[in-house]
Amino acid sequence: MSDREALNRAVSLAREFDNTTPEFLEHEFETYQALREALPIARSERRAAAGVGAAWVLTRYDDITEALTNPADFSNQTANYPVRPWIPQAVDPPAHTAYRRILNPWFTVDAMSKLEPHLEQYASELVQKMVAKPAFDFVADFADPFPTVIFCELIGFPLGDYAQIMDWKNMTMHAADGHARGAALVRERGLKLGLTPNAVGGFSPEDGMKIRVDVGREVYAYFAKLLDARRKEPRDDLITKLLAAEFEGKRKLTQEELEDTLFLLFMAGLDTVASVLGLIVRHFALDPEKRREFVALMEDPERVGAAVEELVRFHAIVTSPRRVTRDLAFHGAQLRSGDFVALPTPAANRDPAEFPNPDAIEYDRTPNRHLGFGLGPHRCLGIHLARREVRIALQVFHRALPEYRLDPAHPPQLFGGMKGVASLPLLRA
Amino acid sequence: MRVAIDTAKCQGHGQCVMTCPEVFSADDQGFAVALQPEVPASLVEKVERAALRCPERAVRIERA
Repeated sequence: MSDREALNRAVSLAREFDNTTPEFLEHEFETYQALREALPIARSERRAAAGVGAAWVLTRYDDITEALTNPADFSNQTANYPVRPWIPQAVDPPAHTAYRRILNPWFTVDAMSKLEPHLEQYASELVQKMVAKPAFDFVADFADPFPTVIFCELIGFPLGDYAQIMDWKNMTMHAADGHARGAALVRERGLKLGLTPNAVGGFSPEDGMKIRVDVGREVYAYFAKLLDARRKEPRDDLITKLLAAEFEGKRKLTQEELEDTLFLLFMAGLDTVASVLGLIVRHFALDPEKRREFVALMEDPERVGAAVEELVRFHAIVTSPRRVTRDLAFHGAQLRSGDFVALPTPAANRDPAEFPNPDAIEYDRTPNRHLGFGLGPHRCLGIHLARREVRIALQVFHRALPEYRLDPAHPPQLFGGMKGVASLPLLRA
Repeated sequence: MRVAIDTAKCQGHGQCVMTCPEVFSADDQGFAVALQPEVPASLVEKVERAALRCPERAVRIERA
């Protein structure tokens, strides 16, 4: 392909860019590579049409890291939150820093290391039950419940509410990204609200927002009830800790701040580890050699940490949105105040300028400054929990079942956006 | 070799603490602290690896 053709192709790819569909995943890295090589700061009309103003997609590691570490020019106040923005994700420094100072101590390496025996024990329990079944779904039987139940215990959500919590999460995060359960629940809710689905069974962006607001109100009411219960009867959980927390050591959090923080913890804690685990195990089912290589090193404490980091680099899931706060010349591109910028960490993590041979998993890769957990002030709060969960889940599962393959009769169901695997039926090899 | 944490850059990813706990620790907020600014010869290689794994490039190495 000539340079001119490569540029023209990139312009067309940018125009149609929409990483929220499962179809996008079929040519995801090819698209990011074509954009990165010919048009690394690309204007996307498709994203703009979805109601976010002028929209840009960045694909170079250096550009994405620069935006993630410059919150003054690239703000997290991106609108589109049902009911109210989530804390601290949708807040910029300096208020963001004050909220993170409350949350950080509860998620440190030391705090999360103490959980390890419990993580091991619960993972083993789920895996034993799963592999005893004649047929199993790695996501429904393990990747979903493992991090979700651990997180519910940590925050203080009653485990009896598991099914309801998953439904709320799926309606909020997976209304229109190819997630079958999310789409079905949203459709049901839309009809209940008297809204009319479009030709393909979805809803207009406005109606979609009405549904998310309706679900959001329900979730907020649930939080309010739990907060009241802990005010009366404190427990050893994050809800109780939040009630005692002080903003900058001066005042307690308001009811709205408490609820908005719980909302963020809820959305960030329930989905991410499940998605990464699903993508890794699907990959391993298709690539037995890489799987055996991992199984051979996974008991080596000197190597397993780096190997998990490499798997997270390879299977990063988050595309971070940012809003440009002033007219800004950015590496030759003229960004305007109010523009929307998409920062796909999967694209950054495959940039050959930062990661030689980026499309290969190299378990001992060094350096490995991947963005799988984000970067800058908004880096993943739960990083030390997530890392331990991914490592322990992979170890425990592969100890019990080192050989497996996809079920040809029931292929995995993927979803786009904050991508992941909704169902992953596996067979013993 | 001397090592220091650039506190303006460190966001508490914990890569240095995981890679070389002999030299790096985390404070109560999870941000990195260099326990031994003067790195003994036996740990030079591990400290270099820790620096190469820090996504924020916050581990500063100074060679005499």
